[in-house]
Amino acid sequence: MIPFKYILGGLQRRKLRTVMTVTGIAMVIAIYAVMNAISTVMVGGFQATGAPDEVVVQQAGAMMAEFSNIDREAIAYVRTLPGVSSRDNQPLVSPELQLTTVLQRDGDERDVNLRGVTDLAADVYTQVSLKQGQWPATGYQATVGVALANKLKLDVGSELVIENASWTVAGILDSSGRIYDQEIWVHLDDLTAQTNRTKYSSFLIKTSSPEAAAALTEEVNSARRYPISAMRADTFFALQGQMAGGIADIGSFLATIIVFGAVFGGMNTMYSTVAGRRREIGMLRAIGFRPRVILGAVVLESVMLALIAGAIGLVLGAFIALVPMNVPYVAAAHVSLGWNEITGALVMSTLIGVFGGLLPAIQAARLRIVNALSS
Amino acid sequence: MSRDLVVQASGLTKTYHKGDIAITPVDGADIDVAAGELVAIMGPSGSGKSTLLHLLGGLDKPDQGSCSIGGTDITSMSERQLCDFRATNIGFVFQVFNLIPVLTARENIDLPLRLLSLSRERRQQQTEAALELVGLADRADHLPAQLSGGEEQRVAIARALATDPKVILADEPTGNLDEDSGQLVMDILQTLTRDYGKTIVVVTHDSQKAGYADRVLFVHKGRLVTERPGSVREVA
Amino acid sequence: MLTKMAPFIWKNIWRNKRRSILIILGIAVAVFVYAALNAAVNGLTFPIKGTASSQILNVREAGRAQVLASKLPEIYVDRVRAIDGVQAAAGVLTDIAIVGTARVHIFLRGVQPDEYRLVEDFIVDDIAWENFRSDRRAILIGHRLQSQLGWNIGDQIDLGALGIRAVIAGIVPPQGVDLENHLLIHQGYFQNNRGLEGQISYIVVRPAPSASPSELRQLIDDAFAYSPITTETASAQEFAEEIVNDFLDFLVYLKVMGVIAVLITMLAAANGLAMSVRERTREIGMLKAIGFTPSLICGMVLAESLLLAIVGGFVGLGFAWTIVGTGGTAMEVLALDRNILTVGAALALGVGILGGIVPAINAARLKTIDCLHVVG
Repeated sequence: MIPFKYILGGLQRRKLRTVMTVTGIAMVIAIYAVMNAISTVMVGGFQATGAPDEVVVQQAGAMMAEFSNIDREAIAYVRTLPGVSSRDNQPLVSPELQLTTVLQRDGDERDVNLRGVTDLAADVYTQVSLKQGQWPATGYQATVGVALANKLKLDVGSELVIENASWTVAGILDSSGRIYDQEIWVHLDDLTAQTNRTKYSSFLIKTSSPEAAAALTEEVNSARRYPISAMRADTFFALQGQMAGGIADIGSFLATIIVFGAVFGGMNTMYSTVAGRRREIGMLRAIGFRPRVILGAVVLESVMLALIAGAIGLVLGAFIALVPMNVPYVAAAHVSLGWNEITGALVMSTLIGVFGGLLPAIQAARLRIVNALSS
Repeated sequence: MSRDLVVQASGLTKTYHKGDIAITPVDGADIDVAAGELVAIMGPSGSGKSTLLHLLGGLDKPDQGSCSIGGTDITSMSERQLCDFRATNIGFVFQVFNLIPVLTARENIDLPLRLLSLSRERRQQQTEAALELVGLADRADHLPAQLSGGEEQRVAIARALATDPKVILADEPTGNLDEDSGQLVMDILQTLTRDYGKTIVVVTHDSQKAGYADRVLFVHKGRLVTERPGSVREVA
Repeated sequence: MLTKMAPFIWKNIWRNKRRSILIILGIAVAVFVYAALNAAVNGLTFPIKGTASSQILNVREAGRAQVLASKLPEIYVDRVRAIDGVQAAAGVLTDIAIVGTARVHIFLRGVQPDEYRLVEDFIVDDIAWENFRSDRRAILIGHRLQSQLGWNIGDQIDLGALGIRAVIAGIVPPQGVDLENHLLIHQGYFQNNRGLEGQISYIVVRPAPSASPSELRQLIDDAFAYSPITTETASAQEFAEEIVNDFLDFLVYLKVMGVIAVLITMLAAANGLAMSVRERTREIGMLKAIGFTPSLICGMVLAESLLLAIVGGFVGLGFAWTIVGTGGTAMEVLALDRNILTVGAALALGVGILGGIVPAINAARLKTIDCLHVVG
C-alpha cells in the first residue's frame, strides 16, 4: 500500500487550494449538521409526548389548539364517556385553554405556549411531575416547564408579565423531555378572565388502557354529539411532530442539495491534483504499484481531505448552534450537536470525499505510464 | 557609413539573488544592431544570453545601463508602457510554448494584432501576409497540436512578424526542433532580413545555426565579444 | 479591447471542459437552491400577502403571538364605525380550512355582506352578489380558488372538517385584491357553525378620503385603550405580512443557508479559476511578452469567470423553473417571479466577480520573465 505519509504530503502541497476546498466542504457540513440538530429538536419533543392511554379532544376541523373552540357545556358529555378513568370519583378529564403568547423578559423575546388548566391536570397528566413548588392555582400563579425555566433562569418566586398581567412563578414542572417542558401552565380561570375567552381549546382525557382510549376516540368521532373530534394522544403528537418535521425536512433537503455543490468542488480539486502529479504517478506505476493501488490512494486522499473538512465543519456547526434561535414549535430549544449529528456529518464527509475523488482516481489509475512520465 | 541602429544598448547589468548567492549573468554588456541585420548571440547554457534578450525586449529591467529600440529609450518605461511598446515594436519567438493551443494558426497570428486599433480588414491582410512569408498559408486553420514542431515555430515567427515590429527577438528558436526543421526556420529568418529588411536578434547555442547570421556575438563574463572566448581581444 | 478578445476568452473556458462544467454545475446548484427556496416561499405566501391593500386598515386584538388567533367582540365594530375619519367598518371572522386531496389551505372570511362591501369595494357580478346576499348558506370564492379546486358556480360543497355545507353563488374575478384567494361566507352562519356567536376575528376599516391613515390608526387604538380587550391597528398589508411571518419563522434559517450556499460556490469557482490560471502561467507570460497589458489579462480572467457564472446561473434558474413550475400543489407557477430571477442572476454575477477577482489579479501580476523560465 502507498504509505500514509505520501498521501498526507499530497495535501500539504498546494496549501491555498486545499484550504479553499476544505473551507467549502466545512461550511456545507456545518449547515448539514445544524439542520439535523434543529430537526431533532423540533421532532424529538413531540415524539416523546402523548401516552397511548390518553385522548386529545379538539374542535372538529381546527388546525391548531389555539384555533379550536369547544363549548364549555360539552365537558359534561365528555365526562360520561365510557373508558374515562377516575380518581376519588372525579373523571380525569382536563379542560384546557391554549394560547401562544409573546413572553418578554430581560431583553429576550420568544413565543411560548400557554396552557390554562384546572386542578385536575395534576392527576390527568401522569407523566408530568413537579420539580419544585406547586401546580397552578388561581391568583395569577404560573408553573413553568423546566426547559423554559432553565433557559430564562426562572425560579419559584420569579415575576413574569404575560398577557398584560403580572404572574408569579409558583412551580416548575418536569415532563422528562416532552413538549410540556417548553410551556407555561396557569389556572384556566385566570387565563379566561385575562383574555376574554369563553370557550375551551381542548380536553385531555385519561383512560384506563390504550384499548379504552381507542374505543373512546371511536365513540366521540362517530357519535358527533358536539362538533368535536378525538385522537389518541400518541397519534396526535406524532402528527404534530410530523408537521414540525416537515418544515425541518425542507431545510435538510436543501442542505443535501448543497452537498452536491461540495462534491463538484472536491472533484475539481482532485482532478487538478492528479493532473499536477502525472509524472509522479507514472513513476509509481513504473516502480510497480498497481493501478488499483493508485486509485485507492487518490480516493483516500480525497476522503482525508473531506474528513478534515468535516471535523472543522462540526466545530463550526457547534458554534452556529450556540446562536439564539427561534425554533418554531419549540420555545426553549436547546440546539446541540449530539452523536446523531456527528455521525451524520462524518458519513456525509466521507461520501463527499469518495464521490469527489472517485472519477479523478479512475483517471489516475488509467494513466499510461509512458505518457505520464513524459509530462 | 550611417546605418539605422534599431537596437542600441550600453552598460546593461542585471543581478539575480538566489538565496544568499548573487548571480550577475549580464555585466556591462553593449550591443548595437542595425536595420536589416541578423545577429546571433551565442554562449553556453546559463551564460546569461536569455537574460540579455529579455533586457533588450523590455521583459526585464536592467539594474544599470540603458537600452533603446528604434530610438526610444525603454529603460525608463513603466510596465504598462513597456507592454504597449512591445505590442507595436517588438516581436518575440520563444523556444517552446509559443502558441495558444485552443487557437488555430491563423488565430494565433491574429492575436497580437487585436491589441492594436486596426480594422478587421487590415488585420486579415496582415495575417495573410505573415502566413505567406513563412509559407504556411495552407495550414492556417490547423490547431497547434496538428502542426509539426517546425510548423509551430514558423507560425510563431509569422505572429512575431504580423505587427510589423522594429525588431524580432528569438530565444533559441530551433532548440526543440529536428535538424531539417531547424534549418528551415533559420532559412526563413535569413530571408526575412536579406529580402524583406527585417531586423532580427537570435539567441542560440548551436554554432551551425549561428552561421546563418550576419554577425555573431559571444557572451563572455557578462559582456558581448565578437570572437569566441579563448582568443585574446575584447571589443567594446 | 476586451470585446476583441471575446473569441479567445470563450475558447479558453472550454479548454478544460471538465473543470468548467464542474464550476458551472456548482454555481447552478447554489442559484437553484436560492431560486427554488424563494419560489416555494412565494408560492405559499403570495395568496396571503400578494395583494393585501395598504389603504385598508386592520384592527386586531393586541398582543397575540399568532395574529390569526385574534378575537374581538362583535360590538367593537359599531364603536369603530363611530370614530371620526372612519368611512366604513366591517367585522370579519376568519378561519383556515384544508380542502381536497391536494390539501389546499383556504382562508374563510365570515362577513356581513353589505357592511363588508362598503369597506372592500370589489367587483363582482350583480346576480352573483344578490344570490350570495340572500342565501345564508351561499359563499363567494376567489377565482384563484376556483382554478385550484375546480369548483364552479352552483356547486354544493362540503367543507367537511368544519361541518359546513355551502353553495357557491359566485366567483370574484381577477382584479388585484386578496379576496381572489379567499372565500366569503355569511358571518352569522359561520359563527353558529364554529360556536363563536358574538365574536369576530378582526375589523377592516376604510378611512375617509380626508383622513390620515396613520392618525386614524392611533385614534382607533386609543378608543379601546381602557377596554378589557385592547387593539392593534395596522394596514391590511402589514397584517398579511404578520400572518406570513407567524407561519414561516423558519425562513430565517433557510435564508442563511442560501447565503452560505452562495459563499461555498464562490470558493469553489475561485478555486477552479485559480487552478486554471496556474496551469496557464507560461502562456500568460508569453501573452505579456507580446504586449498584453496586466489589466487586459486581469480583464480576460475576470471575463472567463463571469461567463462561467452566467451559464451556471442560467442552468440553475432554468432547473428551478422546471421544478417549481410543475411541482407541488399549493405552489403557483407565478412563484418564480421576476424578483427571484433578477436576484438569482445577480447572485450568479456576484459569484463570477468575487470568485474571479483574486485569480485575475494574480494573473495580471505574474512577472513575465518568471513565466518564461525555460531550462537551458
